[in-house]
Amino acid sequence: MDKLDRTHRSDSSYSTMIMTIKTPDWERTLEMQAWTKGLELFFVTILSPKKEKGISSLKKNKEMWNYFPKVNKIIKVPPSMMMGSWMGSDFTNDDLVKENTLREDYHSRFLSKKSDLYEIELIPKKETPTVWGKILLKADPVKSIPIEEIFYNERGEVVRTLKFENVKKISGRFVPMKMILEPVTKKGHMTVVEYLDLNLDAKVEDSVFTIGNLQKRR
Amino acid sequence: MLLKLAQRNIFRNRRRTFLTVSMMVCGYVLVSLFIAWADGAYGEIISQFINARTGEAQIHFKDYLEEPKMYKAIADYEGLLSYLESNPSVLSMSPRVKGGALIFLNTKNFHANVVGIDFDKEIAATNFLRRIPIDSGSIGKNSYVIVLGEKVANALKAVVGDEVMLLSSGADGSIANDLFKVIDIARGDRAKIDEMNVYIPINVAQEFFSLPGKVHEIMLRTKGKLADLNLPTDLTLSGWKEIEKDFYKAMEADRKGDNVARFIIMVLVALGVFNTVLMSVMERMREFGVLKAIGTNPSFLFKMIVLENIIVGALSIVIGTILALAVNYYFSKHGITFGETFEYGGFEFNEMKAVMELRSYILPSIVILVTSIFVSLYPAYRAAKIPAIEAIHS
Repeated sequence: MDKLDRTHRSDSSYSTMIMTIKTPDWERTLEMQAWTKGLELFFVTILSPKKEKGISSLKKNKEMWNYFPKVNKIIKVPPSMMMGSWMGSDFTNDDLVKENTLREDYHSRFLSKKSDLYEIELIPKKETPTVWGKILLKADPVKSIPIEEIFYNERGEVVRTLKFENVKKISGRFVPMKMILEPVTKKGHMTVVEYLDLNLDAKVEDSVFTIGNLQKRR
Repeated sequence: MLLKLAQRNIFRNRRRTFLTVSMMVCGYVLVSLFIAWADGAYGEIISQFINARTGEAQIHFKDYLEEPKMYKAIADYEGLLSYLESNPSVLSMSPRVKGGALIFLNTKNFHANVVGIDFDKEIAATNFLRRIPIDSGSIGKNSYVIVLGEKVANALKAVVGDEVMLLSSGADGSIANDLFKVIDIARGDRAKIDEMNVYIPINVAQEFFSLPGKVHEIMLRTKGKLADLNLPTDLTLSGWKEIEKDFYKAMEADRKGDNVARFIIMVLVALGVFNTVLMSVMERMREFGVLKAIGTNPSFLFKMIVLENIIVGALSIVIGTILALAVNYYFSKHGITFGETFEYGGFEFNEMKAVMELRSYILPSIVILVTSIFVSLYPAYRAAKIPAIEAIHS
């Protein structure tokens, strides 16, 4: 479980990725650069398109800040906006902020255990703040990577699915390079995150994850 | 003969006739004023809506009203504006860009409805911004200025001169963020609904929401029917009843409730008239007995009493109309001021004015005439049936 939590992060990472957001009305692509350290620190900045270049998010422990270079303002994401969309995608701010780790925050139960596929039911522990009633996790035990996560709300309805594809071996580990998030409740909406370059266990300075760095990084 | 007799009977006892007539007149005026007031109140609410917000009609992209989406915009709106300008029924119009945004000021934030407007056109078309002392001449087309609704300003603790940040997403999904200087706060406005609005120049709104040369809405102030309007097929014209569908429905339901109250008042008036008529007929029972004793046909007697009442009713209607006209006129000019304001559909009212409409006279006329006939039937029947000897002794 711990290995699954750290699929894309390892102890630290540096990556470039492309996020494609599809809606029935428009489709757009963002190129981003991201740094992580542990599960607590996360910094991402948009490289393109030009209009949004430099818009950055910093996540530190349970808090999150966004920086908007156009108006040169740093805004702390208020709790009311946590369930709001992150950068217009189907991911919520909460998805990025929450350090809910599967091992610590969920009661897990194996539904099926085959040699190449584990199906695990995750029920949040009482003290875990989450909007999910249940998560169904399908994982590959050989490569120790997730294959699919199905998110249920408290009434037991499927809210969204997250699929992991395009597995590659990086730094001696298997990593899915593509993540597809589909909210079931919003027809035609989809967010795809694809890693162009992923450096696991890269040396990342703590200074990256400071509010000052949000503004500095132009 | 019948008419002459009825007429003479009426004027024989002036005091009795006066009583009946004044009862009917009072009833008439009461019903008339009630209708005039109710219509006046609704009329006021409607005109508030039209003047301050919706206009008589609006043009949108096909299904924008049912499901407002950022990308459902009117493309060539400037061409449409000049086309509309040539229409003689169109008095004025105001194009609007609409969207939602988070507004930030220092540590506070608030979700507001952003309305991009052409300040000159909006001021000319509605009475809303006119109440805010904005010098539209000082607002450059491309200046990043903002007028905050009262609720927004309070939530942000914003004052004129502050710089607020707006954060939203554009029609293409891009992240919209910009700084705006607060040039005014729409305080003390009567339209409560608009307290959550903020207003920015239309060009800036188009830029902000990535809608170059597009608007979501064209609000029209019209005179008479809009004739010969050839809109592009992807656009629709809707009247204010459609635009404020929920409000309109609520108002109609309210009106139905009013009908019940109106009916009760009418019944009360009818009962009063009935009582008076019954008393005046009973009072004359002896007289009818004599008439019968000298050989008057009961059906003749019956007709005579009914006719008498019709004449009295007609007389009351004439007097009542004159009196109601005067009373309604007075209240249409002065209105009644309430101790406290009441709110309806987001608008506040503290005065109720009557309205001069034909229906406030026709309805009570019908009530009086019908009741004067109906209520006379029973007393007339009694008088016609009662044996002469008994009537004389009564």
